[in-house]
Amino acid sequence: MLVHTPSVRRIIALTSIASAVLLSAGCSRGTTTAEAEAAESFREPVTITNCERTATFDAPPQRIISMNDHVTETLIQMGVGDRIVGMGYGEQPDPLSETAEQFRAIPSLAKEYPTSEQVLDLEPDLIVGGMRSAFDDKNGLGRDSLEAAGIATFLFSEYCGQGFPDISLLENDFAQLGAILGVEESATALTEGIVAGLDTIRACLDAAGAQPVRTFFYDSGEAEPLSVGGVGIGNLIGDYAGIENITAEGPKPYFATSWEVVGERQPEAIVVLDYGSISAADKIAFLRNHPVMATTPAVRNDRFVVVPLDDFFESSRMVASADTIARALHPEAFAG
Amino acid sequence: MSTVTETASLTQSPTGSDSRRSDRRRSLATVLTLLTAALALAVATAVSLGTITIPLGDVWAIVAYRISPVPLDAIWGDRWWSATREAIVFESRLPRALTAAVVGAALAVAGAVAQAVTRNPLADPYLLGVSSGAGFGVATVTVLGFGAGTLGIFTLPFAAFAGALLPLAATIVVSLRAHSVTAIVLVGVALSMVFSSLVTFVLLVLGDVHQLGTVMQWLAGGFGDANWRSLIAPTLVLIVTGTAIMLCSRRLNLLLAGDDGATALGMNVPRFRVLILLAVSLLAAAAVAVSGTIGFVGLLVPHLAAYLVGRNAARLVPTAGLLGAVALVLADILARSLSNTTELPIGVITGLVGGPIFIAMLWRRYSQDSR
Amino acid sequence: MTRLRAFGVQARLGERTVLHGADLDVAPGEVLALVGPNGSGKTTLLRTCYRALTVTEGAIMLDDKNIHTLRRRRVARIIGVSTQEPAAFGGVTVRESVRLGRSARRGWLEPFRTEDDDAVARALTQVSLTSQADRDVTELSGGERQRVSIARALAQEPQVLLLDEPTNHLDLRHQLGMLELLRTLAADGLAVLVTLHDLRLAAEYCDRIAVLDAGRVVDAGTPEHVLTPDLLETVFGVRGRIRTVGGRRVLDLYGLVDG
Repeated sequence: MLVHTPSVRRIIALTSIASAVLLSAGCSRGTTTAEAEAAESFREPVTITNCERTATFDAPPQRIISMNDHVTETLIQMGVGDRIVGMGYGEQPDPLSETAEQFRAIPSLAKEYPTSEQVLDLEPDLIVGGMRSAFDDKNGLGRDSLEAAGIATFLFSEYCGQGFPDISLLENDFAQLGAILGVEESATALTEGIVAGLDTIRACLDAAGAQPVRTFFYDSGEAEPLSVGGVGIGNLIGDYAGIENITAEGPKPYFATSWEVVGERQPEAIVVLDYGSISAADKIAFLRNHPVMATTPAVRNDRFVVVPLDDFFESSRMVASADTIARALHPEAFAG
Repeated sequence: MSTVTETASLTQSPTGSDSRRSDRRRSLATVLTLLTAALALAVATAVSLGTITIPLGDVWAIVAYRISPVPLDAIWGDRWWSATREAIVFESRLPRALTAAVVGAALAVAGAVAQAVTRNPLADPYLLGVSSGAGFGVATVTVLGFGAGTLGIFTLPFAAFAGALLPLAATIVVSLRAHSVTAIVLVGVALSMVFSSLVTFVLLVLGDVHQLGTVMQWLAGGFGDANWRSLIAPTLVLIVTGTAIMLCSRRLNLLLAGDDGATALGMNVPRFRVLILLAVSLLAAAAVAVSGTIGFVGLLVPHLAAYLVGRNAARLVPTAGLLGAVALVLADILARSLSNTTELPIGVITGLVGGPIFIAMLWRRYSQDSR
Repeated sequence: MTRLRAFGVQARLGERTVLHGADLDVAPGEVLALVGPNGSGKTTLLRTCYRALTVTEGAIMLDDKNIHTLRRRRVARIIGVSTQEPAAFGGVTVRESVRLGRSARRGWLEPFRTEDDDAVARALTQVSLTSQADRDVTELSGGERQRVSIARALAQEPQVLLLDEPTNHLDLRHQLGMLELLRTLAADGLAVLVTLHDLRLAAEYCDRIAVLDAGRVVDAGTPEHVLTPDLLETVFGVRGRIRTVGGRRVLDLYGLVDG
């Protein structure tokens, strides 16, 4: 489960306080839904390029639909939670504590993604997606058709197609979001909080001289394991957490490899991604009983780390997963 | 076992063309021996190849050390390979190759018999809705969670097997009343469509994207999770059902004379047909339970085997079985070696290879027929 | 030598009653032709005689035994049947197909023996298919496949022979040859029942004729007695009569009945 260690808590708390202060200073108008007017247009239109799509905003959007949980949390953290008129997913049982109240107040439109009718009915001016599947042409929610209907769209770059090689992608995304939403300061504070959190972990590891642990990321799969490749967020989190991803040659963020390859590379630890109907305990049991995996040091020494898949997305939750993994695999670096 | 009369003493074959045609049917013993050798070679190759390279000498040493009743450490020294490599060769590659062989044999035999008993060259082992029933079983357990996890890693295979037999049960009920072959086959087709739609419903309406992926992956077929324990059931089914079919080979041949002709020769045709279709579906269900739905093998291999030895069931069934085993082991080798990190689903290989071969065969046969 | 008799046979195909109390009597040494217009139930009646169809009323007797009290294989050793051959499924030679006729004489697991091969060879000779013996059945013409079916029935070495339209698809030479063969077999003691649509062949070659109309046998007896101008008109809608020419029966047909 989510581990909020003291240092991380402090960072997130600071970020929230900072944003709250900034917000209350700036948002005394308190616009609400139906009468939404342009809370103040920008002095100059803001132009951004997101996933190779350029868009110009004359005024900060006031009616936002957020398509994924981590997007919703991020927007709330940036202080625009009250502008969100509806969200996809939204059944996250444990939203980040500082976002929980607002999170639970936002109407969840569907178990996964809303239909195009639901979306259009809410008359949004911005839709923010956290995964490529959020903007599905087949369901009438392609970015082209939405923009043709006058609705701006934004996709977290993690899923733009180039993977997630370093944290600058997040910095860029959040800066852009901050700019178009008119909340640059809180966006910056959030970003800095995240970067600081990650850097702190790395600093602890460096200070203790921790060596990277050869690790296998296990998402799912019995005939073939689905693992984390070298270009996704998983790999980056691993870098910060003192891990050497044994399948870093994988061309996609998540890709299928073979048990032979994994076994041959003798991982010392296994990170199990927890989600869906198969419990982490079942996954671990499966790995323990697999004849090839049973010969690896990770299984023989019982070095498993469980991380919720929810924490493996471009958001402040990245810090939590890096922290969990780092502490589990390099306990000596965090003693005291 | 009836054999083709090699003795030409009863007929003088005056024209060369007639004797050429009987020569085309090679001696059964020759064909079976060659196929067995080919199977051994294919299995050996399958064990030697994989996503990581293990020296051939090591591979065979591992196998030898494991299966030898005499401990070979004393003779050739301690094991010089890692435990992982031993597990890869003996716990992963070997059972995988043997599973492919068993499944290939089961599908080919089931297909040959399905074609004989329906007198339809396009029949395949899934003709009674086995594949969509299996999909339904897997989808139900995955999405609706009925009995999820009750049998550990055997849950899905069992669900597939049970699901596969559902349409069969319905077909049997129908076929006990309607005796025509056409009726039975049509009911099977209809049930196949019903269960397919149910699968789609369960997956797309009730399930989520992830479950869809899991089920589709499972159905596309593959031997990646093969192990010694899961090999037991399909092997038993193959041996028992295969033997029963061989014992019925004369009756299967009689069906070539037509339903009435076979009745006139002393057979209870409707009852026999039901029992045989049950056997076919058992074989197909056992295969699907272990490896998902693999197409083309059950349809195509019987035709190739018939080309080699004719359609006399006593000759066709063992030939088809061996040929199917060889084909699927080779297909599995291909599926694993075309890319060095990932595997193609085996159904893709059998389709892409089997399809053109089938078309070529039909082309030859029907261009000969144009007179 | 066995005698086949049917008493008051009623039979249904699905919901429809096709036979409404038909009687037959085929004695050893004779060829009985079963004739009638299309749809009268000839094939259906034939099928009841070898248990391909169950009767709802009446009985089929072999000598004094009801065929339903006999085991199927026992019936198969006595009654040889030639039906319309189904669409050919390749991979089987003519010889193998004919040899299936020997199944009733061998256990299901017993291999065929030399005497079986001899019987097959004889049957092939009788239908003039010896030169085609090793060809695949799909390579034969319709008429040749018909003869395969007949050969199979002959290979059974039966005492009663039932043939459904054996002259279908046969060219003239083989039609006459076939009927001559039936006469020879009858002379050897077989009871032969054959359905024919060609009344002229029936009149010339068969000892007795049974006329089936709408599921009932309306008359049975020698051709001269049965194929009266009256019956020909009422049942077949044609005008004609039988005459005897030099010891042979000939059926002359004069044309359709008007109206």
